[in-house]
Amino acid sequence: MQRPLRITLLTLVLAALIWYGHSANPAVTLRDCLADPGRYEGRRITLATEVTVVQTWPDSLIVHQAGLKVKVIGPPGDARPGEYVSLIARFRSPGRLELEALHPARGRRAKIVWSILPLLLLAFFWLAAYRFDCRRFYWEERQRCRTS
Amino acid sequence: MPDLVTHGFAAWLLVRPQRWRRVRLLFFLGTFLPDIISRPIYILFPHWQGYTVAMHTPLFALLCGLLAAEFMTPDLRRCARLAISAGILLHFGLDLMQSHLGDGYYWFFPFSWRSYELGWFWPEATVVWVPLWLAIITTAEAVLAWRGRHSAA
Repeated sequence: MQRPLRITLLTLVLAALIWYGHSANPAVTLRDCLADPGRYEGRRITLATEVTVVQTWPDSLIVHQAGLKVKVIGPPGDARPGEYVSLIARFRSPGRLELEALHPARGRRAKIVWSILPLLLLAFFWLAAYRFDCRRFYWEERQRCRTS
Repeated sequence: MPDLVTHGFAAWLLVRPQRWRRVRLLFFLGTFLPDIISRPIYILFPHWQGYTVAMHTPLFALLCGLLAAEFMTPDLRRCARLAISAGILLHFGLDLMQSHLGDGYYWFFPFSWRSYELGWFWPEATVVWVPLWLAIITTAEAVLAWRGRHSAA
């Protein structure tokens, strides 16, 4: 198979998978619940992606996810405002959650910051080892790196 | 995911031997690829998280690795396919050990929405080991460079 055809085919398949992952995902999100509270009354949902604590009280907390804020009824444990958390809760209309389980993701910010270092190192060594041939549109080894 | 330093350390242990020199960077690229293509999107644009569900799955990452290999010089392309794919498999091997509240990763996407994980540690737990991994790599690389200079002399 020719290279342009392979690139086109792979790109189309990847695009289709992204579309399918978005449209067919059975998980119910907080946005789904708030958009149609009656339909999702009592539904168990997981909030795990980029969820931060806004405020805490001894028996409840407010969390933020993707521009949405929601009150969660249940003890926040040792989660503090500003921290990342993941939680499982039941949705109660019109717009609150009953907490079932909560995990403070302490160290997530440090994880994100540390994770930049390997990417910078990879970029540095990559550019030292390869150069991009703009005419043929591929990376080729710089001569001094070749071992065969 | 564990942090990328931990992923990088695992990759370094495997491909540091001299015989892997030519494919080392490609292996590292594969090791980081599942997170490179998915994490920045939903960290910077949380509203788009739904579109990243597919990206951190083995099939998507392997196809993405094959696509990346197409942008390598022809004599390196076959090596690149293998090395990037092996790196991706190492990445998911480490991710399999994690624990999440609710669903973990969808290993058989797009054929199944079931997830499974070993639950040995939380995703952010590995960050406390990062200084140790960096110290081991730095010391070992310094010793190897020193030995290389002395044996050459």
